[in-house]
Amino acid sequence: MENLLISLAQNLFPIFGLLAVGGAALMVASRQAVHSVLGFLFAMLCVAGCFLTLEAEFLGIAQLLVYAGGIVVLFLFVVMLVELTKYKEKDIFQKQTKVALLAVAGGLLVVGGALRNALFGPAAKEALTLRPEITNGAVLGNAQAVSRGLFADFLLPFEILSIILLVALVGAVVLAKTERV
Amino acid sequence: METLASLLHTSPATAWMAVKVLMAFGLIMGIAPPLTWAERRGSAMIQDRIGPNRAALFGKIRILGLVQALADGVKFFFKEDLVPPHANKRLFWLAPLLAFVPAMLGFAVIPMGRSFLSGGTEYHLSLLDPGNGMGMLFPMAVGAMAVYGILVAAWSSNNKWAILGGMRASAQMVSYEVGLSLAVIAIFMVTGGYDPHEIVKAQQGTFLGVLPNWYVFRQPFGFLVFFVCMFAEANRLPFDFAEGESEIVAGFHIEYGSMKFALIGLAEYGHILGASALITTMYLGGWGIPFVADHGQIPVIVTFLVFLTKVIALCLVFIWVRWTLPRFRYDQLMNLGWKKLLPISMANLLYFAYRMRG
Amino acid sequence: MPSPNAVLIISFLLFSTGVAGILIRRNALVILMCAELMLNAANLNFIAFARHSGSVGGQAFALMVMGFAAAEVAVGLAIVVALYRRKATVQVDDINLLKG
Repeated sequence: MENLLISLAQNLFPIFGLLAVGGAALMVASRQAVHSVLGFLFAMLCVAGCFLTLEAEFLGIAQLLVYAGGIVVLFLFVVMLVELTKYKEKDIFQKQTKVALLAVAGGLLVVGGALRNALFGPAAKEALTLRPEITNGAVLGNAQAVSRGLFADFLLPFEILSIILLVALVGAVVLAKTERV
Repeated sequence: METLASLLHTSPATAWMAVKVLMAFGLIMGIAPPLTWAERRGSAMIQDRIGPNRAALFGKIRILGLVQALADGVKFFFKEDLVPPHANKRLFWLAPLLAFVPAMLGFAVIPMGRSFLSGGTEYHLSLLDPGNGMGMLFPMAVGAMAVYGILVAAWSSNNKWAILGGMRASAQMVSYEVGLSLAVIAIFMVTGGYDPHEIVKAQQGTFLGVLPNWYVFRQPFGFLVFFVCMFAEANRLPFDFAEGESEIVAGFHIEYGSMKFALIGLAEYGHILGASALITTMYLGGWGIPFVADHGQIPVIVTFLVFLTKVIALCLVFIWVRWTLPRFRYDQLMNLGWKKLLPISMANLLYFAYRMRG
Repeated sequence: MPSPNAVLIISFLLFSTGVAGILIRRNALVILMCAELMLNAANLNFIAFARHSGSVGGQAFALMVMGFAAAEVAVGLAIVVALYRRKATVQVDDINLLKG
């Protein structure tokens, strides 16, 4: 029992990752928009799990708060607002579906081939570990490290981001407002 | 702990984890049914009625109507499990689980008592040990998941009232999350960290000589915002817009019956317990005894009982408020959330940020 | 800890699913969600490589991407709602005013 748990704990990243891909596939393939949103939610939760297994706890929690707690709720809200009519789509897929899928598969092959050495070469077996000689002993992944990066090294992009959020807020209000004569 | 571990043939860490999981789960499941009883008897007391007192074991034992909770449970088990014909069946099944799981998960980081040493290792009374990097952000993130249960239940029922309840709930939850987070950030800032163990430690001792060193006294406006937002997050009156019995019948769970309804009800009481535990940890000193600065000599069980007392007292406040205040109107709710609570919590945050300037 | 190729493969699969979704779906909402998925796949790589190279830049940038994603969703959903008000549809094929 304990051995099973330990082997599960060692392979959490592939498990979460494959579940996320499954959720994404459900999102693309399902007929009802609400099912799509729930697939998206599942994928986002699994990506947060991936972040946690990569020891980026703060990012994982931020993913939960921003995506699962905010963005997906907005999506679900709009889907319920828009699709209340129970209007069934006859074709959920575009006419070019076959060509598009072929193109995506071709792209997968090309990029996979280009990255063949990186993906399956001798360096691939090496686990993704922290390199202490580069970090100068700083601990990564916790909120202190991220905030040091945000507020010391990348302060200007961070401030620009806040302005962009403000602009988006105003833009969204203007766009979605009902026009009064 | 070692004897228990050797009995179960596991390591002490695994055994302790099992004990903690059983304790947290048993706490929620053990308190929720008495809470339904307290709600009914308490409402009866407030409204000058008698309340349920007819159910009796063997025709004799009534225990102030406490048997009624048991009878309700039995009734839920034996009701027909009905799925309305136009409902989306899979999501209709999924929704009670989506409501129930987040209500349970929030407890994972709450410390329920003093950490203690045994056999050279330190044991903590929270499911996740301190230093996990998630801290108090975890119950916030999980609490935000609670809205999916309501939304999915509302949509899958394919019912006008349910949809209305779900739409109201989603807008309400997203709005009140903002003020809530800002109030909490002021605490993280003053504490210098967001680990619940640190937050509890920072609230020991006395404040101004006469008050316990709790954040409720140090940040009264933050507490006000947090407390009100918790009512909205737990979907309780005066903010129970998802249900709104007098307007939209029963809102999002109108089509639910039998055990699925019981799960939704349990989730509601789980949310009340979770909200009480959060308020206790953040603003009422957690497991700390008021005025006591050093808990090194106090038995662990006493700190656990102190925590439990605070949580249950807050649960009773939740019930008291429900039967005292009327429901808000929807525009009043949005007005309160965006135009009053949010500015108050922003001013609170700015004030404490100003006081912390180097 | 996972190996870098595991992270690369997973994020690659997520990204391809997003691209495929954008190319083949007609529903504007699903297309928006697919764009979010692609951003998430990129975030996964950012965090993995930040860990590998030992700098916080990747994590900080991932946090910024989340902020941009939130802004994008706010505007995108507002456009979808405005579109629904005007044409009562969210299918991208039905928006063909410029088609002549």
